[in-house]
Amino acid sequence: MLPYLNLFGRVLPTYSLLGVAGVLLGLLVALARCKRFQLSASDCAYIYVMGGVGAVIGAKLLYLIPLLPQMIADLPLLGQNPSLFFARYLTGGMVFYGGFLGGILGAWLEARYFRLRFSDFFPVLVPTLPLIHALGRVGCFCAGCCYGVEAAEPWGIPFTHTIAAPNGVPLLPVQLYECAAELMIFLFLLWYAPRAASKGGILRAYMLAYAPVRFVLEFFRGDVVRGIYGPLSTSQWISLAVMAAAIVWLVRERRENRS
Amino acid sequence: MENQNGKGAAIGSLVVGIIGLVIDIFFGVLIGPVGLILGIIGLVLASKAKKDGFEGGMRTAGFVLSLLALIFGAISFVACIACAGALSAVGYSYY
Repeated sequence: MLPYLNLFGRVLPTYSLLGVAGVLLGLLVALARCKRFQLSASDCAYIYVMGGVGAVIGAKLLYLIPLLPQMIADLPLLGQNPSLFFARYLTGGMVFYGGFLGGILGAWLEARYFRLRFSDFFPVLVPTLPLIHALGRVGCFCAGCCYGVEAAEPWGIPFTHTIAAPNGVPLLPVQLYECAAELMIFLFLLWYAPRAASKGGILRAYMLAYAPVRFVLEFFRGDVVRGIYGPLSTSQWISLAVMAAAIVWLVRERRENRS
Repeated sequence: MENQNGKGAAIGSLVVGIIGLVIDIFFGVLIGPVGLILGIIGLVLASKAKKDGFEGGMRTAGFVLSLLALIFGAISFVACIACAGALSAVGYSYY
């Protein structure tokens, strides 16, 4: 649709611009809510930003893990044509769930470094996850990646200037469906955060809300480079694991509360 | 007297953040990930200065500039999985 934007005389990818806009918007939302939950805005900013660093690293690593054999085979390229190696593996390629896990790890490490309890920041940090992701999905739509299966108009939208999807073929705008679902989850978490029985309950609510959405939407995805293992895609397997982890966590917490 | 613990880390954060930002602005498309990595180093140094109890504008400036270096570096670095697959298939380098 609109893979590039011309800003200040430079051609920039819309996907990354919207991703960065989402991260900055998320930071503003988190900082604006710190006072309500009696948290230090400075601590929150550091934890949020290091969570963002962890997210970028995690998203990249999960993308590279399935490519490891190919990457090892291409190692001689580092000496012969490093820019090609760099272009092939280091630019582009991010996986959301890697970012989710990496983000949690990065933020947790930063909280631990400052000797703060990480879960105290869940009410301000967790709602920003679907907000960032929603803007990222609009970026996917603009770039034409993460596209849906073929569908007749008006359900399908033909892309004209995409760099990833087939041009001129009506495709289900599954990126926008996911964006809408993410925005609903974001609003729900804003409402739920002050009402949750435990701080961990907010993260669990996000896991239980997002994983089923992603699991279902994957059936409507038409892009083939996501990795399919057996009957399900990589993200569907991870969605099942996330749902299972959230349910086990919920059951354990209820048992502990009873005893 | 102002606490001087962590001042070195705050200065380091500021310097690395400025270098990262300059690299992003003038050479971003070519070596964007270098600015991104410098941004990460700057943020780690700012965290160390904060942990050591150093307060003041230098630490904040280091944090903000390193964050900007990270952001501008990320703009040329981040793209999603399907883009990468499609672009590598046609031999595209940077997007």
